[in-house]
Amino acid sequence: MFAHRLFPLAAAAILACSPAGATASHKVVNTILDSGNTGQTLSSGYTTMETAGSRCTSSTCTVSMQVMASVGKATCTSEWAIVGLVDGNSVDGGPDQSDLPSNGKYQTRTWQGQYTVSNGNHTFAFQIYVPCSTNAYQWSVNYMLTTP
Amino acid sequence: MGVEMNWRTTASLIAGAIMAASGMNDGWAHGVAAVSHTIKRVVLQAGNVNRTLPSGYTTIEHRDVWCGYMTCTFAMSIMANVGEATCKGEWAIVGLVDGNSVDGGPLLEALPNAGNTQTHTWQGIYAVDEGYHNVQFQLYLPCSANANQWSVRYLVTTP
Repeated sequence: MFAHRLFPLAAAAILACSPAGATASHKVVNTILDSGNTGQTLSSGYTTMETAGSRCTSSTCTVSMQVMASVGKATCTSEWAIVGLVDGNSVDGGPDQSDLPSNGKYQTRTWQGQYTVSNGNHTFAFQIYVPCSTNAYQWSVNYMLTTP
Repeated sequence: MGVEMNWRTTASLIAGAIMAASGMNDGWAHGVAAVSHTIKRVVLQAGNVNRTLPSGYTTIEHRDVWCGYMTCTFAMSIMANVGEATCKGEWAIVGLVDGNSVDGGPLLEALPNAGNTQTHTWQGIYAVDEGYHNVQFQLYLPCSANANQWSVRYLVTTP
């Protein structure tokens, strides 16, 4: 929990000089789509749900990430998060989504972010952060690799 | 309402069990592996229902979308706003292609208290073959509630 609260602050500091894309027109060169329904119980902390890869053939590319995830049957009501990663680096720290649902209820949220990369192969992933044991259900990702 | 909710939960669990037993990817039958896709077309639409919906499933928007290739993937993203609910049950946005639910429509959250509204976005993907396909979205409500603004963005990609 404590680490998760510190993470966004550290991420904000990093973002001040980091690869977030400026507001400009981009051309989509590749789209990665994937979805699933794990139905598994996640333990507290970060769980990697999906990983994918793509090659940036320009000098600079921007990856635009959209992730949806559903959770439920949580054993606490603290806040959870969807965390997007590029090459192992958190895109924005993973903002808290909401308090986990109580009494066996479910909750579905989306997260989106963008990250600038240079020429070469890159890995994209998303994690779910839960503060306590929680079930994960449907998820889907839409990653667009754009230039610049 | 209880029967409806139980059916929804059970359907999700059954689908998960079938996929686990069949050794499929943890996606749904028409789920798409994490491969590269090329966007061929984008379908955009928005509106405001601005009326009270009954409990159950209500189709909000539907259209026929053309796939001009051997295989296409529809990447669907749908936003909807609801409010003035008469209960605190959970609601859902359900994407459908040719009448088949894309992922069962995960429950989004408990409906908001009286006087409040709530907006959520659902997204999912579905593989189809060449031809016209009916793409629609429904709102599932466990009780009477108002539906307001909505918007959809459907990407048609190859494969």
